[in-house]
Amino acid sequence: MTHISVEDVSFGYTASPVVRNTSFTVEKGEYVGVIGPNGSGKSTLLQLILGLYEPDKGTIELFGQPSRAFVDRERVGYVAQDVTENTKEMPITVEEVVLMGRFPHAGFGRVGSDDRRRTREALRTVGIDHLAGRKITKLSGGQRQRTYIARALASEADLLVLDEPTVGVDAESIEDFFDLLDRLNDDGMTILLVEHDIEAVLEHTGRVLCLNRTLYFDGPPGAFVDSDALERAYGIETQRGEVTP
Amino acid sequence: MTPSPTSTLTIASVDGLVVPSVTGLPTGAIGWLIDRWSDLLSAVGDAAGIEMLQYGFMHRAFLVGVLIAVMAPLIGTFLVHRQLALIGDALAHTAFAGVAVGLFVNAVLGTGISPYLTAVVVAMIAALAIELISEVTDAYNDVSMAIVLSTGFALGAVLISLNAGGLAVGINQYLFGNLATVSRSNAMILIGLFLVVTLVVGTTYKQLLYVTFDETAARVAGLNVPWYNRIMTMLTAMVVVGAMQIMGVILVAAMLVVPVAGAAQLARSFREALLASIILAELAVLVGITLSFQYEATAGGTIVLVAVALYVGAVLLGKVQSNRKTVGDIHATAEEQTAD
Repeated sequence: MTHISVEDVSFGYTASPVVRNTSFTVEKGEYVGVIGPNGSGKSTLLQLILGLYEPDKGTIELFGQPSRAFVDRERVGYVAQDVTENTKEMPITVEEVVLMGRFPHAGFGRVGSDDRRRTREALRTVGIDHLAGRKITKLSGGQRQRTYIARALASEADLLVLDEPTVGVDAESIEDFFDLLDRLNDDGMTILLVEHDIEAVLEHTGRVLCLNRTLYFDGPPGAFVDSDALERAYGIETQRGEVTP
Repeated sequence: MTPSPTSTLTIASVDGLVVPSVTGLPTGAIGWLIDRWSDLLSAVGDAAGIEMLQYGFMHRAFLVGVLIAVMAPLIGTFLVHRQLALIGDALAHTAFAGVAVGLFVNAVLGTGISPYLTAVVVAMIAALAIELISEVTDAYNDVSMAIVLSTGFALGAVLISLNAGGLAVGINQYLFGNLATVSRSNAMILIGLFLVVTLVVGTTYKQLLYVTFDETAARVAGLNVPWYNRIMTMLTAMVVVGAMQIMGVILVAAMLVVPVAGAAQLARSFREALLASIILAELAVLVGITLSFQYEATAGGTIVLVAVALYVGAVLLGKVQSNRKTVGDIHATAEEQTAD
């Protein structure tokens, strides 16, 4: 089953497009990494897929429905770019944040014991159930990131969309985090990951999309290494691993 | 303007049709509640020998104060954590224009509409305007907010001066609030606003929380964010007008902000924060009204000063708490590591 379908999409906030003539599909159970230099339109592409903007040209579908009119919202879990550095001093606990994943299920009704049970389960899956009562602003970047993954799990999402989730997270936590994503993917979760760490994408994902306004490469990590897509997309002579995007 | 204390089901004739008055029954019930509240406070006053509880206007002042101290921080908690505290101030100043419209209309047409009703209408229109401006410009900016604020206040000032033959006399009560002028009908208006505000927040609590915490994720989760933003500002308009009676235009926004800021120092969860802000606001209102009666000081100012004192206390307590917690966290982390 096709989870994401992007067909000949162009989009710009102003007259000059940020995303140009881009097409690809993501099937159920795939683990896809999106890489590209800063300002290459990666985050914009994610937001288009999530239906936050209307493309100027082309069509985007989520689970076979137009993304702007997509209704099964609980199927998509989104971890935004700045979650690890959220400085807002709002008093809210980890459990309260994860419980939000149940809100689309509850609608205007009350959250029940089943919702709380699933919240607990999600916290256990990502390994932070001991932090349930902790204030979110007191967490480390890595712990916060897990909180948002747990929210997606609580929502019973089968597509996880992550926008640079490792910014501001220490090296050891990053490794654990990618192990967690591997596990979730093994359990059948479809993952679309925008990430600046090319090494990590090549090591963990099953497919690489290399983007700089338009698609430069779409294929398995092995083929990407052998291609010259990286040099062309980043527009510099470079060796893999030395890119500082 | 005193409505009949026992306005039961009245019959009104509209276009030849005889229909029961829509407002008859609810106002009857609300009036009954106000009477019972009065009885209760009288009894407490007699039993404990509290002088101020002998006065009917103090009964109503406490009733209005207690309700304000629930709904102001209830809405304020959502506003403050979206960094929208200024909206309360802007709407209060436009509500002042609404008061002026009401007084103006009454003076010109000889009607007896409560200025608080016109204030609700004008403040709600301003709330919608603020929302529309922010949706078009894609941001709540302090410039447009400042423009709405000053336009409202200027409009109020002009309307009042145009009709100066007696209008300016009673204006202080709207600017600074007044305990003694909480009439029965104004108390009823406030109870009506209170019911609407608590019912709407009760039904949309989850959605409002989601939008407050993470607007983008809320949109991804399929919430109609602009719609909830509109609800939020409309409720703010209602709270502001309701609280204006004793707080006054100039200080009303403080009730939306100060108890919430204090609660944020102490609370871990959002629910705790809501509860703590209501407790702080109740303390401020009860102590403030009492002091204001004893020393014949203005109620709004006294309440705000008490609220600020509570805020300072909360900040200090929060510091002590977090110091203790940091030490606790170090122990907890050590335990976790040994457990691994």
